[in-house]
Amino acid sequence: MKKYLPLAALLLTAPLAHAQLGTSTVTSNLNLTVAPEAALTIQTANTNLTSPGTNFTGYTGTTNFTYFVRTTKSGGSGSITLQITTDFAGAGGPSVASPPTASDKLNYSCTVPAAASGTVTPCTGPLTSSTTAATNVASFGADTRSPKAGVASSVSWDLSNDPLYQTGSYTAVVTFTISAA
Amino acid sequence: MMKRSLRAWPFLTILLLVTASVAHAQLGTSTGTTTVNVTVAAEAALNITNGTTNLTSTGTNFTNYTGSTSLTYFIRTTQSTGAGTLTLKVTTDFAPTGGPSVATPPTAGDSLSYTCTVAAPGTACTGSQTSSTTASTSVGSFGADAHSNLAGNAASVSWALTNDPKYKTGSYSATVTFTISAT
Repeated sequence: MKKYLPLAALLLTAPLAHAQLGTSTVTSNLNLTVAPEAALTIQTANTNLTSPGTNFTGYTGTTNFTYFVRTTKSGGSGSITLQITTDFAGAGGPSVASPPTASDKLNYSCTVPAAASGTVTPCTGPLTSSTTAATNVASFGADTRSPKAGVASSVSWDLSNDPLYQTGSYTAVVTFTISAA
Repeated sequence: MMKRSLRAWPFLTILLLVTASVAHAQLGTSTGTTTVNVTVAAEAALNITNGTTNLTSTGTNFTNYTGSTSLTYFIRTTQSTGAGTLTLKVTTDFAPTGGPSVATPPTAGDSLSYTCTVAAPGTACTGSQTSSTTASTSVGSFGADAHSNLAGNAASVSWALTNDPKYKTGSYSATVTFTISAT
């Protein structure tokens, strides 16, 4: 009989040990840090610049994009910029870096509507694009938040139509960059 | 069966994490690019510097009436096969009647003739040209790959109108239309 006592004790304490493993309800803290973020999508992967007539009117076109932004509540800011990362190719045509006439420009103006909250300041165009520096498209104030679907925006281009350009097709690449802090 | 389900949980978790990050990426990226394309075609345009050209005679011995019309032209012709022309036409003959006329002058030899000056890359018309109300006449021509400056290049037409004694005294006006084209 004595030899069965340890077994009996084990059977009795087993349920007690189970009870120490937890309860029927538990809680867990979910911690989330929402940081400032920014993103954009370009809808117009190819922006065609055209001249409406034959009297050397500037070549114009529009690039559409959507921005998503969240800046820090207090003291935050953000910006959208653009830069000509690849100049027009082909000698004799338009060029942002070294145009045939000094006054030739690839200018743009900005349409950047307000976000869901905060402040959005579009560029006051026309601005002149550059191959060496990013130029302003829009800036964001503190606590600026776009809707989840983003905010549809655009840049309207105006390229000088210089008679010195040789006839032909020319291509440049523009890189848009968005940031938030 | 239960065991198999439990084994699947880690894979489902990984799948969830992967798809969650993909869903995040759909909102955009911090940079985006657009390719800006432009096709530069042959074009031509001009501005008339003096909208009104006064023809005057220097004496009282029926010397021709002369004057000059200046213009600025802009041109770009196609690189290898292009060409361009600069022409003029008397689109409204002198009025009122009784005076000079390009279409029906009082004397058969009366004419409104002109000579041309066209800065490079243009080639000016040669000699004296007789203007017409029915046909465009040459002022200048351009070859392939011709380019004016952005500010334009200068050209001018020097007029000479016969001073026919048959003209009644008075003031007369005609309209001349200049046309430039490029291919």
